[in-house]
Amino acid sequence: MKFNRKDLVSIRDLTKEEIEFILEQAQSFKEINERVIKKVPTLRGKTVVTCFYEPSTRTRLSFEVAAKRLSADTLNFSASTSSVKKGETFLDTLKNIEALKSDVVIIRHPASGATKFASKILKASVVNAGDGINEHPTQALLDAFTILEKKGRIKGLNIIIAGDILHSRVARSNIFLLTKLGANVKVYAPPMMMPRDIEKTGVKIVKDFRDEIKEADVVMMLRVQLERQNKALFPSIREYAKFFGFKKEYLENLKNDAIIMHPGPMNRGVEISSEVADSDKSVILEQVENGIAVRMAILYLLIGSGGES
Amino acid sequence: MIVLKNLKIVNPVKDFNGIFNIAIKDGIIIDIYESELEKKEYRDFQHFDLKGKVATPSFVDIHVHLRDPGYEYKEDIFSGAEAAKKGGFTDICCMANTNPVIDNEEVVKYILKKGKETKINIYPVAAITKGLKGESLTEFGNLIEAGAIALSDDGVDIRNAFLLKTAFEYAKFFNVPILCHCENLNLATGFMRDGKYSTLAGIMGNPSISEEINVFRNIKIAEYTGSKVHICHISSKGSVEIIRFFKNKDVNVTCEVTPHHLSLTDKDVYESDYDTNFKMNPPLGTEEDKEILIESLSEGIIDCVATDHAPHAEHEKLVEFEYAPNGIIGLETAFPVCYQLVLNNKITLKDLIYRMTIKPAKIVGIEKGEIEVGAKANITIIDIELEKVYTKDEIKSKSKNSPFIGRKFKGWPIMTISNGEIVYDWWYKRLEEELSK
Repeated sequence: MKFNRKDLVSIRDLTKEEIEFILEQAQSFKEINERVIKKVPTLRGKTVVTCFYEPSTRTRLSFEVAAKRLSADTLNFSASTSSVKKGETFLDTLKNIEALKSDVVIIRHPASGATKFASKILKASVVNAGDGINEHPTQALLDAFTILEKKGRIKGLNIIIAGDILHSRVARSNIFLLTKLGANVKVYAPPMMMPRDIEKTGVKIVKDFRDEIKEADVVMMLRVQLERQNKALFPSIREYAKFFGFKKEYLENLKNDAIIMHPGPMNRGVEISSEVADSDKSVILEQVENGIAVRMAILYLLIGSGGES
Repeated sequence: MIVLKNLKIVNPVKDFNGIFNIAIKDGIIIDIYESELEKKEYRDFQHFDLKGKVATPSFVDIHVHLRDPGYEYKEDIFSGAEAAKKGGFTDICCMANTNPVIDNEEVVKYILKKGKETKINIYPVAAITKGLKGESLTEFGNLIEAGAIALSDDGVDIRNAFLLKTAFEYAKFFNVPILCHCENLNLATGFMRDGKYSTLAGIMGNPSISEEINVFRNIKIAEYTGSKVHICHISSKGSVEIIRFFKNKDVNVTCEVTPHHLSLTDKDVYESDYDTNFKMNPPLGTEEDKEILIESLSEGIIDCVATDHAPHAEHEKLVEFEYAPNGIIGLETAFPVCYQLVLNNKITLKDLIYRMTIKPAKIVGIEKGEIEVGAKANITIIDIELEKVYTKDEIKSKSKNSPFIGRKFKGWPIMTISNGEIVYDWWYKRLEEELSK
């Protein structure tokens, strides 16, 4: 297997084989993270830039740790959306970053398609760390890695993704990835947070969440952005929690070996109750841990010798 | 004094069967005669052999953005006119969203004066509200007296229904049409058509109802006031249904469709990988919408083709999809894009020509005749066999924002005659170039 891509900007672009290959590679990187000395020289002399146009804690930290454990030099660039709109264009910023001779540019951007745009401009590899409502491919890959670790397979699993699907790039990437790998994916959302024609992406819509989680192997809860309340998208947090959150009473409906996931950051008591988040079925912190291994694998495949293994 | 020789004439109404020569003198068609005839009286005329080519009345576009005054880096009246001539147009109406806005007589006069130098006819469309702000009416009477041909706040819809009603009433007094850009801004919060492909592309979608409900509202107001209303750039099946409903009630409504809505869909947006040359307002519709728009144009529910030629500089379009301005240039590709419908037997050439000439002219009140003796010599020559790729280099417009660059089309305008003068000639220029080689 060869991984010949310059960039990792979307799950949509990847084949099933490429996804499986990345997940396989991540396995060997996970072991490094468990060592006392968590560092290998694989990317020594390479420069990795994180270029974030949106606030982020875990994704940025995760990428930075991944790059550092591979001995790459890391640079951070932050910009607020407003300064982008008023000042330097995205194109010019990209060209400036290009001039730094970076090998990988990791981009998070509030506009859908921005990372694809960047990948067409830059000679360096581009990794999408989230673009608008479109995709967050490394999150989906680490989610798949976690599912594989826990369940041993993805094909045939019943997976429910619940929350604000419309505005969720995590949901989109996961839908594309999990359906490509043969899972039965269902989605659950308040109707105004459900993308139009979502069934055409190969998923089904959950009608009765409490009942349908009985069949689920994986339940993935999405963060609801509380500020959407102001945009008339939902009436109140308490009503959201009541009808669309994962409440502790639901736990008894889950299969014994079912797992609960959340990409973070969580709103405890809103989309997920504390009891659920902290239950033994929750794998939320393992997702964070696995994120490092998956991102190490991606960096290695893009600019290490990984592409030719 | 010229004779255009060996032409097939395609008129919207009057048929000419055979191959003809057209003699032009002092801007008027003085004779149309069978090509076998040698007429001595035209011995001193300059002769152009156009064997195998088609002559039609020159095209009329009632929806163009010339960006002049104010945004001359995108386009100006001269470059826009060159693009028009290349596309076979001799009559174009330019929209009011310039800077300053066409909301006072001075801007109208400026455009008319500069327009005169282009050798084609440029008709300013004045704003309905001052500064296009949707707050207070412009001086319709003075604007029309100064030479404005119609009224439009194109680019935005007027939110205030009372103000729009007043505008319709007042426009009726001056007997000018209002050209409506129909868009409910509360609903139109996305960047492409809402549906399967916006979901796949991860781009926020605009539901088609954002157009449709305002199409209904605006025609309903015009019906109530008994005014003329023209609906700009319709893009959905639902809009067609609404217009059909009102036309069946004999309401004085007309509408237009752009070449891109007749040829591209939301799937193309998705497949373009966020190419901002596929971003326009209204956004491209579904395959079903496209098919209905084509049928309705052929049937006549849609009255005419208009380009919504909207130049934007390269640096403005080379940005994130969401942040890119809406619109594409369209004058140069209007005919070739629409002619593919003729080749696919979706519409006859005669009907297409009607909907690119006499019909749009009638909507805004431009005097426009067919090719006949005594008529003004405004003629477009088309090579319906010419097959070529549209390239960025050949674009006359200052802006290059076209989704059709790199696409091959069959059937291109090759010569444009405005008031008896050849204002665009690709054919002979090319022949000369080949001879000099």
